[in-house]
Amino acid sequence: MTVYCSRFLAGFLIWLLSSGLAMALGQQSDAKAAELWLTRAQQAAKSLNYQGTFVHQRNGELRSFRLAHGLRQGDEVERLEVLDDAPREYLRVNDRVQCLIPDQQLVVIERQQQERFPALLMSGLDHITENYDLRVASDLQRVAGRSCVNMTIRPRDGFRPAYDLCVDQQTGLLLEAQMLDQRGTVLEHIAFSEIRVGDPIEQLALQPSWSTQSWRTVERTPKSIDLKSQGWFYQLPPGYQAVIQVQRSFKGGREVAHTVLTDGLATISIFIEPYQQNLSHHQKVGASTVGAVNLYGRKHESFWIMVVGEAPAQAVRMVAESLVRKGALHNR
Amino acid sequence: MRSTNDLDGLQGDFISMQAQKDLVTSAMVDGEVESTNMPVDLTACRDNWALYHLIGDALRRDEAVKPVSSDFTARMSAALQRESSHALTPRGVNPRQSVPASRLKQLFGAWPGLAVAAAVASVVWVVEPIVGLGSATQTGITTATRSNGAQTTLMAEARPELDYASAHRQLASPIAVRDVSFMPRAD
Repeated sequence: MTVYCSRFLAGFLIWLLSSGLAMALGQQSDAKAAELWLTRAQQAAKSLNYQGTFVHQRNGELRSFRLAHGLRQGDEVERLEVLDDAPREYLRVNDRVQCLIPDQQLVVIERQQQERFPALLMSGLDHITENYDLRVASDLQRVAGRSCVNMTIRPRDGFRPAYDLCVDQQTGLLLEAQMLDQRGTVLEHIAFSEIRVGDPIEQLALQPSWSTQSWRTVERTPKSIDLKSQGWFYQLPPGYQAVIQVQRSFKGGREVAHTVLTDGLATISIFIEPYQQNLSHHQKVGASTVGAVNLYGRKHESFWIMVVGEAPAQAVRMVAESLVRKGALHNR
Repeated sequence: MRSTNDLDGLQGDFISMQAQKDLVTSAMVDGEVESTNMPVDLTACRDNWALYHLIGDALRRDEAVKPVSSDFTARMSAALQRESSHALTPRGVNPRQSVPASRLKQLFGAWPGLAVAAAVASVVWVVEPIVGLGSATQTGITTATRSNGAQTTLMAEARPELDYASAHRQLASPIAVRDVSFMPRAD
């Protein structure tokens, strides 16, 4: 009797261990598969030829866009047309972007600082998996007439939102993306409604709608800054790092220091500027919300601090309340 | 790394054909390009203010909108008509193609009021996230019309949050779509 028991027990334990292991491995391979899809999506966005129309929905606003993207002699070229509201076009060669504004007869030239749909990631993948749980769903969906693989990206803590993605099964291109809050409410939604992938891009698709020879041209090169060297300290939410730090000119001559924090997907901006008592922008102390965006305003010494992001309110608040200028501690 | 000249060279490739040039020139001569400078005088815009808020409510909640008066409908269709006649039309292609309502429902079936949003989008949401506001209003909403030489303008309440959110999105937005920021012609 005892021999049978112990053999049974041993067998049972082995089964338990191996299935547990298999489950752990399965989960790991699931996450690995999701990572691969994400990497592929990022590369597809930058290296494939594609043309299509997509719709972007945010905060009750709906806009559609036409996009043509391709590689020409090793350079990324792209034309984005805004199809709703005021006509706008963006012509891009690698990271140099011309923004055509016909109602102002103005061309604004600037350097692209971050990835745009259908590219997604702001930093490397390894950081993503530290902060998010990546899963690939087994069933396929259909977006823009194409089969796509559904991916869920869920935050590991309360400092970032969640994402649902659908990537093209055949080419890996991101076809649809949704950003969700803690409760699963869709905060932002973008999706191709029609798309052609792989065909070479005709010259006509990249030509702007207007001749801009007589237009004004403004080149915008914001000055790089470093908050730390200006004497600022602040607490980063877990997994976030500063990736962009520039001085920007706001209307009215306001010079604002703009720092962007990211965990690879979610972004939080820190705006710091000299405080102006009568300025309407410097009155709203504390937390507020604009659609998917959480804000936190605060006066610190002679400065006005505004922290903004598509991250949960606690992340935004944490950064805002932690900001302190080194001088304050010592020069009392 | 491409030199700064290369972009211009590429622009040379982009230069449109003569017909396109003529189209734009005639549009400019006709004064069909507008500025988005916004007057600060709110009293002059009180009617438009009410209209803006009504539309804003419609976008947010279906039930917030009472049945529209015939006056509202008349003004709306007039505004829509003026709006479409001012759109620059390159190469015979209508730049205002938006996604048909049926497709929208397919994509965003759960969203209430979306059909309304799409319909009025071209009139109301001519929004330029103009970075930086002084004491004047922030996000100006302009109907693309001219009536008797004066500009019809819908004014939004000063919403600093919108400004900062917009300034944030220009550089850093997760599902990133371009937002343009520029300072209107300073004259």
